[in-house]
Amino acid sequence: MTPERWQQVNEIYHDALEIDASQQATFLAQACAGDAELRDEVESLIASHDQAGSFISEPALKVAARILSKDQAMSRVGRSFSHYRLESLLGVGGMGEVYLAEDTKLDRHVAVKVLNEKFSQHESNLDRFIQEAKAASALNHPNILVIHEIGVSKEANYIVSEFIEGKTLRERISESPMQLPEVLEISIQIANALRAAHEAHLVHRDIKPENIMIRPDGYLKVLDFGLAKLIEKKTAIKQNTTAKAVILGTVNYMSPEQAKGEQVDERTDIFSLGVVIHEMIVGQTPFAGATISDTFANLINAEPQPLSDFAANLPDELQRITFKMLRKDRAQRYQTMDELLTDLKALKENLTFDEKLVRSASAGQHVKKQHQTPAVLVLVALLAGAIGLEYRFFSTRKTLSRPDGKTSVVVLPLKPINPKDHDQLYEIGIADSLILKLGSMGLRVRPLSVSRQYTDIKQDPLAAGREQQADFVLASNYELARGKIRVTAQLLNVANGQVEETYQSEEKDVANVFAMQDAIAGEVGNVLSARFPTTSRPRIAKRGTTNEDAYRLYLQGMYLFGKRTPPDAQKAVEVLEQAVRLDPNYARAWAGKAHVHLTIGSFGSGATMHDAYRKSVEAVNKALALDKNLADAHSALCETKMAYEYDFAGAGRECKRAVEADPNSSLAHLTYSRYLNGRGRFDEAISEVKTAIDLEPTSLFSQRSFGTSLYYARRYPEAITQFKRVIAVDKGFGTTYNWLVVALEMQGNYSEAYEWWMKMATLYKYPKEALQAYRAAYETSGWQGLLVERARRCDLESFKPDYKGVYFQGAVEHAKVGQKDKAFEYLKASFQRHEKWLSLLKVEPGLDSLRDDPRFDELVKRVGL
Amino acid sequence: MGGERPGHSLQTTELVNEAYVRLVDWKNVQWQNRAHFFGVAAQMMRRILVDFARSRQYAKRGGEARKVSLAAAASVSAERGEDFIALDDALKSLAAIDARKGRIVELRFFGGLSVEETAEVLRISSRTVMREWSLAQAWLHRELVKGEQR
Repeated sequence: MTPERWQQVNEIYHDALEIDASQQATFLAQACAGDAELRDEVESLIASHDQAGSFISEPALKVAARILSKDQAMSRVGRSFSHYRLESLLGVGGMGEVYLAEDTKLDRHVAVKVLNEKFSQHESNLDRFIQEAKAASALNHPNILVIHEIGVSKEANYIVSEFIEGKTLRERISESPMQLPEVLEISIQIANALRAAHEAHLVHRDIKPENIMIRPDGYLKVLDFGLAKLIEKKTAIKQNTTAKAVILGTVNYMSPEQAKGEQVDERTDIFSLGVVIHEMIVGQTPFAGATISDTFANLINAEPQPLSDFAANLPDELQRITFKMLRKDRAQRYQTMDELLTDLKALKENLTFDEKLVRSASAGQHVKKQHQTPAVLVLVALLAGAIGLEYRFFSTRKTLSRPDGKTSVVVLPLKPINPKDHDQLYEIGIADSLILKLGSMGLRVRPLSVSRQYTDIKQDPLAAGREQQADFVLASNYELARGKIRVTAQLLNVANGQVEETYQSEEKDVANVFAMQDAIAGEVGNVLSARFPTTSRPRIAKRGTTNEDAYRLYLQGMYLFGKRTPPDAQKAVEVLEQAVRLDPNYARAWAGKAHVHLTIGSFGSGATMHDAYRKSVEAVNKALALDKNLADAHSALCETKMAYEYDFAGAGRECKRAVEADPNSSLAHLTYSRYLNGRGRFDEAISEVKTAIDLEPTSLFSQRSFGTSLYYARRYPEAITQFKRVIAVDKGFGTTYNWLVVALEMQGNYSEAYEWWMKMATLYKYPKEALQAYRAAYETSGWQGLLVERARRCDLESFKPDYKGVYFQGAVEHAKVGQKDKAFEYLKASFQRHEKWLSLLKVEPGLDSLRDDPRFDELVKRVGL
Repeated sequence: MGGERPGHSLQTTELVNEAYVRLVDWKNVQWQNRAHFFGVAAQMMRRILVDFARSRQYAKRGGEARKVSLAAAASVSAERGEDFIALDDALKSLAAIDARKGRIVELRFFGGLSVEETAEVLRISSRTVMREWSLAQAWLHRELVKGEQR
């Protein structure tokens, strides 16, 4: 072939490959211009290109290595070790080959792993190997491969284990994309196996998809416990020569401490499992680089890319879990498999529950008609859908007046016209922009936490509007095409179901998400301003970050905060910390973090409380330095001044400033009402809490706060009704039982108080012995007897240095049974510990018996009330 | 039967070592730069691996050449890369038509260099390396399939 001719072949070949396959024939006919030989040459090369696949893509040296091990392995088939006859080669790994073998004694199939010569050369290696393998074989767990025998012969050393028919997780991953329920199921089984191993102080050290076998029935087995330790040793010895091939397979799953050659513990398995979970979802490991050194560098320095970059519709919770597993610093990871399992199982249960609900909802309409309440609950559960489950729903509330007569609006999350376009960033993100915009127009807009409940695509907008007692609903949808978005919004009148306004956007570029959101919000605002003459304050609500991931995390953090349970608050802190790490200038996230710390503080006492206070102050200072007019920051500051600094004048100023800065912030009103409770300004407190509820009617926390304000105002019957309502929606909601019991007690309704007290004691699993003592006390001496027993038990625990209870509560217990001196002792301790509850000293009904004592006045003065 | 074949437990580390020893023994070679070293190392590796394949084939009593039907061709393309001898022959033919493509394959396949490193050694762009690699791979694959059918 002449060089010119070859050149021609080259050009046509490359051009042809660049055009669409369907047009290739036409192109070739034209380019070869009747030169049949030329065309044959190019066509056969293109055909060969299509067939070549991975031909010579793997470096020759690796190919040679594979050939060598295969050669060696093949030679063993047909041989016997002891009473095991090797039948066929199942696979070749770093440590040796695995064969399917027949156990001629017991007539069953087993797997025999024959260790490399090199591997067993060193006697100390071998001893350790045997020791570890023994430890592993002692693990009796259904998810751990059963080891039958460890064989040492002249010829080779081998391990005999049960033979698992199935495939490795590696094979499963390369087969087809995995769905979330399967990923969770597998993760939980691996974690279960590892928990059992860790309890026996055995670290696996080499968790990777090759070491996980999945049986056809879905049952999973973890292989090769303790063997990795030997590889490490081997690698370390050989580092100077060419151990690359050995590390190659495993470096992707190594923890940073393992890669650096440091001492490893159980937490290395947590990291590796995190890598495996990431791979199951994404299809590749989080730190994989082009070369080993790239991977190594990523492992030490780079943060894993968020899962949401690869897969839509993943619960944020999964992101949080894997992120926590993959922390570089093992002190920041899950510390035990138990902790991890709790979160994985909770996530799985929520998914399962969701699925069930979806199924039962579509299964039969008649169910809904027959049982109104369950159907409503099904609906609510569906709404809470994507994120998790939460019954923040109130069926009996009807007559909460709107204090200022403002028009109220619920903005629904946007719905994709094409369901496959589903993306929270648009659905929640644009809704958030609309909420900020409409809020700045002087409308009473339900906060984002309300909107989030209506993410279900089938949500009836008017039903949402009725549930939120709003005048209008803004329902929108969006359509995505080629990097553009088009949004249509309709303003619906809840009273008559009429469409009052319609807006349709031009196509907008989605490349700059925030600019797009703001543009749409601005345009919708313009359309609606005709209907709602703007009473706009000049203040423009700020989103406060340009980092999309930080923004997502903020939304998630505040959602978790709204749940107000200790574990959710912990998660919220983690998530918000991530947000401010991504954008340290994100004032709203700092303020949110300040609030979450305060919530954590209110669950705890002593050191927990003070730690929470310190962190809250730090966060609030950061927030105010960035935005001195941020409502959430001022309300957090109000709470710290009132609860921790006993600076009540300062607290009042901050709380007022918060509600002025953002009159639509339910959090600001709620905090203000708490402040007013302590000051004895009950009417104002109740009015504030009602405003908070009006802004966010489905928040159980606000609903319960309404009850506590009524309790301090000594309006017991109303308080009792309110607490019972909350319990009807969520019996486990915080300490609502406790509140109900004290309200009943204050009302003098002891028999009912006792009834609820026992229910609470059962729910919170009080020790049996304590339950019996309470019952006996009540049966012999009535409610007063039970109170005496409570005070007595209080003394058993308190004044120990690590006492976790609240001294203020101890004072109440003793004041109620007339033990004044003891009560003052407790109050003194409460003051010394700087408990936040002392801000309620003047209003707590339980302390009434102490009020005419001079010591009480003195304390009031010292607290500064 | 069976039994280890002496001389064939050559492990990859030893393969690399052998190449390295041969290289440093070349006392009269003045290494101009990294690129030059890579280039020579790849050549060396090619020779060692082809030698290794020859001795292995010999041990297999004349090395039964594998006949593969065309239908199965697609799935065995990776295995085809295991036939170092046939590949070496085909690579010689390719180099006769297009020397640069021959070098690219030598550096990448036998030398284990990345696209970027290959570009550095040959002082051409990475894009060119990838284009030429594509055609070279197709060409060699076609040669090997032809050889099997013969």
